[in-house]
Amino acid sequence: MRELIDILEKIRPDVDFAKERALIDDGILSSFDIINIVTDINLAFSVGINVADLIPENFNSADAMMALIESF
Amino acid sequence: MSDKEKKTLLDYLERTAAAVPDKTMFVDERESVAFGDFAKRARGLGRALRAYLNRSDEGRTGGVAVVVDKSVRTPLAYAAILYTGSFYLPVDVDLPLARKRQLLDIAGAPLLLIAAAAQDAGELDFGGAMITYEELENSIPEADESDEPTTGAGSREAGAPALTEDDPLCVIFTSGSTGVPKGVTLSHAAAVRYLTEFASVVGLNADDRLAGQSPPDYVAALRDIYFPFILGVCTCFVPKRLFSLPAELFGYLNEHRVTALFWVAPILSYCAELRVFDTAKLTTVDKVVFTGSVLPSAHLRYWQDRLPNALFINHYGPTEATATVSYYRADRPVDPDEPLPIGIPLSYVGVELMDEDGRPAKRGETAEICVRGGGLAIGYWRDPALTERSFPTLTANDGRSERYFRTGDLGSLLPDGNLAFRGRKDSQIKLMGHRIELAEIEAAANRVPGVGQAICVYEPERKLLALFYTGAAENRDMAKRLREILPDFMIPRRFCKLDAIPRLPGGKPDAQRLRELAKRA
Repeated sequence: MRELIDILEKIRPDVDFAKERALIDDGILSSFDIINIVTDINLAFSVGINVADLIPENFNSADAMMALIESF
Repeated sequence: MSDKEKKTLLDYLERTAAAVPDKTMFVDERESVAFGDFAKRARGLGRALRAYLNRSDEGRTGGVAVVVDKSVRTPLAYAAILYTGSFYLPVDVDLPLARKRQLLDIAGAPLLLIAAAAQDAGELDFGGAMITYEELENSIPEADESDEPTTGAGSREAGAPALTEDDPLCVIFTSGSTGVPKGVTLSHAAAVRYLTEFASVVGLNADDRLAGQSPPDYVAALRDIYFPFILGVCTCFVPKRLFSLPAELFGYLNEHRVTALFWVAPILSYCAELRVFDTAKLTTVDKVVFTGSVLPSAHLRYWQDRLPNALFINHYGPTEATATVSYYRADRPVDPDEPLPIGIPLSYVGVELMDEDGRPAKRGETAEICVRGGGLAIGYWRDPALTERSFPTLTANDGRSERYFRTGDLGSLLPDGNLAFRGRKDSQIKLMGHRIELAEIEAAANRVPGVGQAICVYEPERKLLALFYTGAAENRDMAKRLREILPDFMIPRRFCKLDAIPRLPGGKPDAQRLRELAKRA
């Protein structure tokens, strides 16, 4: 989880990823952020997040992203 | 009215609206509008707007600033402004407040129309008169005979100055290398020329349906908004959020029976990298035009293999040339290892490759792409010095002297006559189709309290902006403060605080070293 938070904070140091629960629904993350996050997660965790995974529910919180990573 | 006659975009609107009044013209998430109704509403709004414009010439020469989003109201607002005899200076409602203020300040227009739901409208500090779309709608005068469509050069409201094709259409703001944005003034004539010829290159016809991807204040929006005026096609404004959710995006395109995409290349890349076609299909698209930056051939091939019957066109053209310069029709499957050319110029455009001194380069040499002919902008808004520098009179190989635009892009002529793109002369970059001057990001970062010096580096491999800085500021403040000033696409996605900026022996920042640091950031 720490590794994921590090990745996220590099991209958006102004966001409190431990706390936020509606990153997509509240428009905190933009499409630019999502693209960067997907690229970095795929690299760091050697997973293959693909188009079917790109739904708001998977990116609304760091927990949700972690669950997505662990599903691989 | 014959096609040879000189015309403005409103003449086209009137003609198309009379021919197909009941056909759908624009669609957004909330509403759709037919051609006849669109023209009627635009004329009414234009009449109402004239009451707010200065009776003096200022309303006409100063233009109307307009805050817009991706909705049906945007073309309505643009057309209404044109009906007053004036032109528009658009600002995207989604930009940060400080950015909107900055652009409105550069615009310096006497009137501001708020055509999108702007939460911060009260804080815009606009110096001139301000009116909202709702107020305008509520003040449309009773219909009179001028509500009826008219044709020909007199197709303006009674009392409004007659527009001519050489009049400005709009001022498009773009990133500036001096650290502040600049406006590019475009004419009706250049827009009409571009859209009519490019439509025939692509083979667009009245049955086509477009999926508007561009932000509403970009030059690319000319296609989404005025192809309907000219050809009678329909444009669906695709909600912005769908572009990071490609499966939903494909669903939208199928549902709206979209046939033609005029999109920035990185979106096609993004879809290819995510292998969208593994889980989704496109059932109606048969024309794909991509612009804004280089599309890797492997990504084009991915699309070609999945849409074998579609036409694919690589299109090149900066704002200062009204989006016009050249196109490359990829009519056979491309070799994934061969870079895509930017092709051949449109018929009314000339391209010369010139060296630093404005002398034509030798055949095959890489030099600056300079453009002449009917696509050129009128100039930079309220900046005659910059206009003179960027639009010089140069002499081509055949001895003819003409006005050119120096694009700052490098190119070379391939043996087969196609033009190839070879990068930039300066530090301008393209990120997801957005044109960005790194100097503008640095200027904003240097204004953040506690920053000693800031240098922005683009890491092309991962398409990442990295900001290096010295001083007491922290990453969190930097990101927060920059978000208040710059659009989202200009915010670096890496912040790196350094004890000192690495320098060359002469004292200049060591760009090479910074690029290496950016690779590992």
